[in-house]
Amino acid sequence: MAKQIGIQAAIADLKKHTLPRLPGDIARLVYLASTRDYNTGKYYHEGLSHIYTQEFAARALQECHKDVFQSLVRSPIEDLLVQFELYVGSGCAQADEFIDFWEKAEPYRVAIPLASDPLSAQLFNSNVKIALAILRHRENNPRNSSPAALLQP
Amino acid sequence: MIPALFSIVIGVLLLAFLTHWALRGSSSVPVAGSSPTDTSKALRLELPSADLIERLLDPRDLAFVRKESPAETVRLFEQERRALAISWLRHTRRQVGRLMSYHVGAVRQNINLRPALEIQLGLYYVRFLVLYELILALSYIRGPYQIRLMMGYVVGVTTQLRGVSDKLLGAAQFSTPASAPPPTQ
Repeated sequence: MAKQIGIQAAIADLKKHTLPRLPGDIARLVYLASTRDYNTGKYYHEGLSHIYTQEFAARALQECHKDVFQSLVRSPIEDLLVQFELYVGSGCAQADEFIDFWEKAEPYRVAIPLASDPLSAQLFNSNVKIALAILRHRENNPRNSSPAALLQP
Repeated sequence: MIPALFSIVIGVLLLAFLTHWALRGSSSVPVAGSSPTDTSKALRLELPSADLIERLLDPRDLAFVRKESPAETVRLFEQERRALAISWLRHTRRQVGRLMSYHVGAVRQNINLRPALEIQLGLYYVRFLVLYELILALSYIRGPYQIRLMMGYVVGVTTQLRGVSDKLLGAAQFSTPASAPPPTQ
């Protein structure tokens, strides 16, 4: 019971302070995946571990990672594209560099939570591939840009 | 006339299915009732949720991709959706096949049979196989978006299969002393 309360408090903390500062669900997914160790698959967050325990912090990160991923999997491609435009618009990289790298290296594949079912993972990979193709098309044909893209800096 | 014909077709299909399973070798069939965990694993179907299938074949995505992208991206999108739909169907087929293999093994070794449920399971299985083959063929011929409604039927039949298997799981768990539930305090 105390364990559940601790985990819930850590999740609430993450959702209140850290995640809202990130521009959209793609940024949140990348951030949460980056807190997972490449070798062990365990989640680490120093600040959160200081306030709660390492175990509670790891569980909170894992739960939030799962939630953000599920939200993206269940988004229509149109909404996914808006998330990509927010992410690129936040200045993480030049749009063409970003599309090149994501198409070639496919880093989104390692951003998937471990516990995801195979169909969710396949659907996410497929939707990202299509969204990148549309972004590429928009990049090459600026007149086709959506109103959401035009709002970005 | 038509209902009688329909009954005969169902009867023949059921007979063919029972003959097929009776003639199959039992080498790869797991032993029934070896432990409650094994039984549970063998009988429980692990299937993606119905809303994920709806999401996969949501026509809004197709409309958006057609509006926003060149023909090659639309082609890529349709190929991807077809591959995913077929992958889901095959995964479901494997899961259901595993369940039926378990039942063949269980039926051969267990005298505590529940014939009504076994027949019900057999009928659902035949319905599932017919739907599976039909949808697989249609997805190749007409594309993934034409099979959207039928995918819903597959979800319905597998849910019914799961319901019957859960009832049989209850029967299997109470049929051996080793797997009986602990006494209540």
